[in-house]
Amino acid sequence: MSGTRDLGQIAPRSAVWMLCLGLSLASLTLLLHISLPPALLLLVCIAATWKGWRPSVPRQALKIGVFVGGMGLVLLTHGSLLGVEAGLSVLAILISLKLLEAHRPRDFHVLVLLGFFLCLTLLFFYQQLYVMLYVFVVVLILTASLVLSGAGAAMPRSKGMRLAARLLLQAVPLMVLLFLLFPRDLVGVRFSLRSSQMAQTGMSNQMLPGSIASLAESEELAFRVEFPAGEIPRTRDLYWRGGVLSRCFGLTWLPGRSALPLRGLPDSGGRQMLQRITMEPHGGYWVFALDRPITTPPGSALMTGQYLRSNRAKDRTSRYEVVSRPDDTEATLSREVQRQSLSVSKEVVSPRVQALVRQFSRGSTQDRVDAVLNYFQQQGFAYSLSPGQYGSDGLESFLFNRKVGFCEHYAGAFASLMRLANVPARVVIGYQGGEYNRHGGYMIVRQSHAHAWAEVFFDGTGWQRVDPTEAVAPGRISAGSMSFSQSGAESRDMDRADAAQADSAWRVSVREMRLAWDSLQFKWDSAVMDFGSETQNNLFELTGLGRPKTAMLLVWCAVATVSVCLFVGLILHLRRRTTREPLACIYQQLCEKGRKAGADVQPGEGPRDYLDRLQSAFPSTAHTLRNIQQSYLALRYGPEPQKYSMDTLKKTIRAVRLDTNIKPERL
Amino acid sequence: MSGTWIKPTGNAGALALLGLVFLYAGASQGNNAAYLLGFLLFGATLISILHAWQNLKNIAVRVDAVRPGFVGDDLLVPVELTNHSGKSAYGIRLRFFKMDSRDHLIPQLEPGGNWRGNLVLPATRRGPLTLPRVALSSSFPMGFFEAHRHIDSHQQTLIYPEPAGQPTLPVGTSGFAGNEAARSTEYGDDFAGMRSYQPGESQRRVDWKAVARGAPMLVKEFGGTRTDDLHLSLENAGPGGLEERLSQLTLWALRAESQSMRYSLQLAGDRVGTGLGENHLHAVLKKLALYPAETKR
Repeated sequence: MSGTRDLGQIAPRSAVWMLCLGLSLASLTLLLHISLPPALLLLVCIAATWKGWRPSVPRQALKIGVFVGGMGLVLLTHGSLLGVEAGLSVLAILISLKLLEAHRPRDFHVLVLLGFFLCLTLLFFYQQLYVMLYVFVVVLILTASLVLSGAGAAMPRSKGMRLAARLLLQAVPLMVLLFLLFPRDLVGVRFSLRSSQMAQTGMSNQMLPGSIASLAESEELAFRVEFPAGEIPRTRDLYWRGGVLSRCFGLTWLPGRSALPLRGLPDSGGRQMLQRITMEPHGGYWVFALDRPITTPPGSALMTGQYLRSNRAKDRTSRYEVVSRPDDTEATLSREVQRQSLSVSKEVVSPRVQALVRQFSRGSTQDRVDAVLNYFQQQGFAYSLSPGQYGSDGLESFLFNRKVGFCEHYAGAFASLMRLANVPARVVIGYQGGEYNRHGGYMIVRQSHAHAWAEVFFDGTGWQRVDPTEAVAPGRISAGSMSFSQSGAESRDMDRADAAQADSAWRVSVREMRLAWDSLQFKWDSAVMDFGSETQNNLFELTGLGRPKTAMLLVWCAVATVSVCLFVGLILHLRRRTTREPLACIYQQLCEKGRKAGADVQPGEGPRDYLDRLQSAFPSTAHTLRNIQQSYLALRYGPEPQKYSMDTLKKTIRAVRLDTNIKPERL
Repeated sequence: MSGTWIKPTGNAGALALLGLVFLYAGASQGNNAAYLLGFLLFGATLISILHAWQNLKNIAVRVDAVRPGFVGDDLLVPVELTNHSGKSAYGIRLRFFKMDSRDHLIPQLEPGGNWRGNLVLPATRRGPLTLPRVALSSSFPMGFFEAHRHIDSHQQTLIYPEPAGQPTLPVGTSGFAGNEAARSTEYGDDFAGMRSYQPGESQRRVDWKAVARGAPMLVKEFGGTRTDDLHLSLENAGPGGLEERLSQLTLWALRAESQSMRYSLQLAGDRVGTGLGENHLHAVLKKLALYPAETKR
């Protein structure tokens, strides 16, 4: 019924080739986020289209078969047709179907538009600069396939690419204008599309043994910090406070049952640190700030424990300014908080632990703190990124048998021991350290900087930070966990340390390149990706136009569109109109060369006579000139012009040199 | 020359839909990357309109004179395109406006280059025919918008009635006797003169000796005797309706011409005298073509 035409018949091969390339590049999102079978089906269909291969099954049967089979597969693998992954799988199957059944000329356009849509799905998940560049390349290829499909088989692929590139480049001014002018508050931000397979990495809202160590090897970005005041804190002061955990289960710590807003912040009058933080989405509620925040960025609140908590899950990049005062702390302890800060879950307190705690329960608070830290230092405790699993008797096993742990083990064990020694204590999770990027003048905090430390309540001075990790592995705090472990201090393996030294030059240059790219990425993020109605308003106020209304912005968009189109149209219109045919242009080039050499065409002199004259005037090139004469006359007046090549003539005329050094004898 | 206009193609609807999806994605997610890509595509599509217009703007169209034809024939309309711009033009489609005739696709027209071809126009009604406008269009480069231009050539031609009916000449009425086939092969009796050869004509009577001497191809004409003359008129064209009888007369005139039999036409007070030859045939066919149609009651 629908005939046997396929893509190969509705569009030239070059266009189909380009479409297949574009589609396979654009389906990267699908390949990253859907299960294997639909992705494979799509790839097979693209390959089949590219090769011009067609199954010998009737089209209708094939369509129904692929559709039913594909949907069945999606149901089987995802359990439903809804949801992000299932939706993408369905999309993959629909594109496969379209590839198989394409037979009308407009099917080609439908496929290209589906390719554009695939690019959009990629941008749902990733908005980094390199993804954007990748998407632009894919759009270029897809546009080139459109150009090629319209031009027929005559156009080579490279020419199609060039035309598409010109089209897109000419569209860039309009893109920029519309981007700046288009109203951003048309629809409130409704949803953020994130697939469950791309779980965000970030600080979890509890501390189980190993939960921070799992982040420690991730080089992923947590947040970037600028210090508008210009002063960069020392690395050992870079404690990024995330959350406070107050329920103790030994090595496992959980946040308090109810998060209460902080009341009554003492004003120590100490030095302040202003930070501008651009935080990657992490799906949780933490809002990180230098220890300890005293202002609340919009959309968040300061909670008891002096940490910031967002009102909604941070599933998109957020940018905020916050002021911290390192010396500020809650100086008083309410009875309720005191009770909480001393409680330890009963099941983790074994007799052996209780016996140990008795050693620490003497003297002042400071004495007790020192006693526990001394215990860690003197009893052979080791710091490791991979201390192995701890079970339900984690605390006892850590303290007496294995004595190996990561920062979270030390923070958890320390705070538990302090509580058992009747000192109010709690665990703080966040990040420690950061990598200063001098290219962009900001600090990069990665997941590998994740850290946990403890806080102890001193009568009089209030909550004070105690970092037991520092007592065990002093280098950790100044170097960062990854570089600390890479430096060989952890492995105590001298060969590895030497090897690390050997390629350090290489590593430094790679690191510099990465930092330079990161600063570019950060500039892109803050200038383009974070552009919103607020920035838009600022822009308009800068130009003195005042805050624009939505309708006014739409008018501006229309004005921009029309004026850009008029401008480009005018340029195209004014382009020189040549009536000369190619052969005449080529001959004109020769005449120009002759004129420069002092042998201009005489009025009424035809090509035959002129070339005769040139041959006698320039005897050294007479042979070439004779050839030119022959082929020009044959092309122009001969009975069989197709036997001569205009390209060859063009090349010969380009190459010919009329030597001006020799004085022409007869002119 | 009329202007070049732009109209969206069927694909533009799908593109507009995709544009809305981009906008929605941008707005609902606050996704600036989606905005950027959407605006890029929007901009490229708008720019493609200008390119489509520029692609077609400097193409000159010349429609040459069309020879008359018969109803049922396909008239060949010679068209020449010349690209006067400094850039190649691509994907140009050429057809008659508002007709389902197959269109020509000219994939590429070099700067200064030209293309010659014939558009096919089916002749459906006898009488004078003003050529329909030639539609030049191209959806290059993106296929979402089409530039088009209509060229009115003001060319006229004549459509003769369709030759149909009894092939046998009504020789009884003219008193002509003899074997038709024999007559057409023989050279006849009287040499009537020379006339120029018409393409498609039988080459039997070409004066080959003259051609060998380098003269143009001439055809010897032989005239029969006056008694052989064929008198064509509606009255002796059979019992059918007006159109059928006009068709019959057309057929007979053609056959008589090909058999070099002199013929005349009497049409309701209008008369074409006895004669033979290209001009005579045209005069007769023209009368048949222009004969007023039956008014329907």
